[in-house]
Amino acid sequence: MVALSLLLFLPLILGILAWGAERVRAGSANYMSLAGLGLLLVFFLSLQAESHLKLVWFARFNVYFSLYLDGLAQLMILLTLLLAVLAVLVSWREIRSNRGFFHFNLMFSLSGIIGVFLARDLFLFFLCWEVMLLPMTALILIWGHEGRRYAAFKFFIFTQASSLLMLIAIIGLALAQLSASGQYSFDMQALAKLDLPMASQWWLMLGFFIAFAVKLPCVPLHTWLPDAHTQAPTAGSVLLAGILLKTGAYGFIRILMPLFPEAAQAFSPLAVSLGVFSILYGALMAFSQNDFKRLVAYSSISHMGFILLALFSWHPLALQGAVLTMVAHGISSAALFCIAGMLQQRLHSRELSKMGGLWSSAPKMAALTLVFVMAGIGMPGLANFNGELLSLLGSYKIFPIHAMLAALAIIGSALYGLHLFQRAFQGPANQQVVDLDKRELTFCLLLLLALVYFGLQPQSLLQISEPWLQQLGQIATQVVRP
Amino acid sequence: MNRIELISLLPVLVLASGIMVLMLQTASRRSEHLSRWICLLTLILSLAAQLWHYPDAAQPITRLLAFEPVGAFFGILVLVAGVSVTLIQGPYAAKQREPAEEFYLLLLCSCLGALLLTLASHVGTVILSLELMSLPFLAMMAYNRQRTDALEAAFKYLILSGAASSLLLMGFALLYVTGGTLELAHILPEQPGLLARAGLVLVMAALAFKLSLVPLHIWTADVYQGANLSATLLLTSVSKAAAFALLIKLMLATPPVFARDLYLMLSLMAIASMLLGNWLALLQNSIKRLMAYSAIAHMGYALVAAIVATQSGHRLVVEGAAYYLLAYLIASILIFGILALLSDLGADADKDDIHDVKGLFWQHPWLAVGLSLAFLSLAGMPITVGFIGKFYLLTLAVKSELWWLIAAMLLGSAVGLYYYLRVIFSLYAEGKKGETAVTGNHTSRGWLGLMAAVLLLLGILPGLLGDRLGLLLLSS
Repeated sequence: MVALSLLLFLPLILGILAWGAERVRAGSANYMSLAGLGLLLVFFLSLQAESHLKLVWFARFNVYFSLYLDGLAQLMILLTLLLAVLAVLVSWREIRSNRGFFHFNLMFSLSGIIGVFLARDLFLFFLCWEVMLLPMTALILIWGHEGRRYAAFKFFIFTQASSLLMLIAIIGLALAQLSASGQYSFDMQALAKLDLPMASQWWLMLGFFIAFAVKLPCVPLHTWLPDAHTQAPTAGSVLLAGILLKTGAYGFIRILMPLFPEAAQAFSPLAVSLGVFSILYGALMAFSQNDFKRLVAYSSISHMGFILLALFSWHPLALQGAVLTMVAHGISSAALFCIAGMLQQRLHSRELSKMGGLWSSAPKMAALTLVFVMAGIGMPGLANFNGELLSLLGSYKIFPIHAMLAALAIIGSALYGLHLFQRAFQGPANQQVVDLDKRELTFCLLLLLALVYFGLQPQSLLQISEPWLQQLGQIATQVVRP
Repeated sequence: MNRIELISLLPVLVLASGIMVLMLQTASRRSEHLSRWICLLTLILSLAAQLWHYPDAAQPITRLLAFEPVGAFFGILVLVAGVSVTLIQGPYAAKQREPAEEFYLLLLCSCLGALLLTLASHVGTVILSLELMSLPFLAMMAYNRQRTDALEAAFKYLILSGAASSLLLMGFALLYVTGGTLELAHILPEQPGLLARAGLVLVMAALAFKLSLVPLHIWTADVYQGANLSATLLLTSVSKAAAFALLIKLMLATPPVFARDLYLMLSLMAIASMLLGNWLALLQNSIKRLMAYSAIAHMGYALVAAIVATQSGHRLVVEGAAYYLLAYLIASILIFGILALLSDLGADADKDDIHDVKGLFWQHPWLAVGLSLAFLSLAGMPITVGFIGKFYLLTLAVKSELWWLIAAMLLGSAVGLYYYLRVIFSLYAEGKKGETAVTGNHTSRGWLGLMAAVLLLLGILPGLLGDRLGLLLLSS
């Protein structure tokens, strides 16, 4: 299945093509990327699940170029591609300078992200994990807002420095395999069978945990996120909030939990506490923000806390809830960032105090924003509700106090969500804005459709990701809870 | 000396005869163009000879030299660096007023010294070749006499390098007193007394000077900044590669009694170099100064391989050291090469300030991409060769459980990200108005392009070299 590797390289090639196209004719990069993504989407849907590819890559260390597409990866890649389409659509007019290079970066980051979801070899995983950073930093640095330099620095250094710890842990694992079987190995499946003593498992797990917790982010390691999300161009925010954060969660599900089940179990009380703390802290901070994007950014921290809580309670229901939240938050936060971007384009400001009463001049935008805010709050019928409900249900059985505290935060999310909506769209009209045009209306309606569909029909998501979650559940039952 | 030994010495002989030819040419008819091509041809022929007759086992050539794989690999690095300097020197020095031919002569002499150093198996050769390598640097550093900084740099290097050489002599003398032999493989006695230990410390100090390791790093920044770009590139590539080859060979031959002392001493030096080097680089605005501190830090990382070498003769040690030095070399060539394309030796100063390259991407995208790649490689980002080098070293360190060193490496790398990123970010910042002038001909640009391609290729397909490195470096 060499076709699988195309999934990795095709975005990069398309990005180069888009860059070239823009040089030939200004404005063509938009169409080029859009057509390319469409092609990629068709190609991706034609691939069957459970396909894999394994090529020798670096024989000295027994590293393989090993890709594996299963349900969970399929789900995440589909989300990635759809949000990438959204990112292209939303930056159709926003990006005016160096458009070709912009599209190249966008597509390049897509390559890295897809690689993270597909990789079955830790070396490859690490490579993609780092590679997706570079274009994302470029997006923030070149096309970001006023404080972009600082934000790009912070984003890059936080994620890079934390992933160095992961690199050490990866090397540690490969060396453990060397002393166990006489051969290096970076293969996830082989490493999962490794029987490590608790002490070394603990340290190695910690290396991975910190890297993933920075990406997720979980509270003491979150400070890059509000800056990066706020300063990034809209497309960058969409990708960051929609997918990049999910790579952290994906890392937990795909690597940390299967590889170090005992250590992860032992660590779970602390991890869950961090998760709950993130939920509460994120909600509190979101409430006090005056910047539209910053508010949404803090709300992301809060929502990601649910994922941490759900994952580390290891309950089958909670795991399902985590996957649902990953998808739902990907859609809803991307939608809110789109709204923020469109407002910024019209008002040249993200300050909530300068908005107000926008409903009168832009009713379509206001109505859609209300739905997106409601989705964030977790209104039944919209996608986020299912995720949060299942997360709470599952984790309540294991960590009742934590789950109760987390449930309280839903009130908090209603507070900041409504606060946001009220200050921007209700009250006396401060400003006049142009309502959504056809292009904007189209993608907003599609987002709305997705939120409603997954709200009413979460089973489709659960079915796709079920095999892997079952596997995780089995691992959990084998480990005796301390 | 038999025929096989002569063939093994071919690279050295080619270089030596190249020097003769160049001298005759300069004496009879001056032509910068001709000199450059003779120099280039000599280096390429020597490189070809080195590659063609690559050793597969250690083989002594008289008592002074040994033809063996590790030295030969580092010899290749030296020659590649020499070729790079020759190629960038032409356009860089086009507008200067000094006679240009002698530079190539000095360059060849220096390369000859470095090449001999990689072959050395005897204290006599070490001292001779070290001086042959270092003395031409002085003249090359101060090549444009109008630059007062350059004179200062050369003077500093002269005095301190002289001091380091005397340390080396004294150290070897002390070792000779106890051991009674001058052959490198046996110079460290099995039963050391205080005298032998003191001798070893002095020798290590001299090598630490050449590698600019803390605490003997103080000269580095001023010399790098003052010297012209070609000389700085030579200093950071040729001299470090050759000195490191000597260090790693000494360490691999260490008797176990020395292991603990060396471990402690080298670890402290490595940790101090990584932390201090990265720390001091943080606020530098001059890229040359920044590269000086970054060189200190990188030699600190590379020292990890030498430390592991004292503990165990594991085969990964040499591979790691070789890969790391190669990665460092490629990145240095790219950075100094591109800066040389932007600068002019005839001017009062090189264009190495961080503001000089501001917004370079929007004017000369390829140069900026090359610089970015090189700095990312130094920072150890994946898909560049620097990452693979770092991967080797970390594997070595984790394997030997050197946790303090790993902690320093992590901390150093995290700090290092900031200043590498600072340069990269300024390349993409909104630039100043007005075109930045770029010199350079097709050959020099092509060569830098090749370096950038190798940097990416070895980063993306590390197996190309990594899978063979073991065969190349370890005598069967």
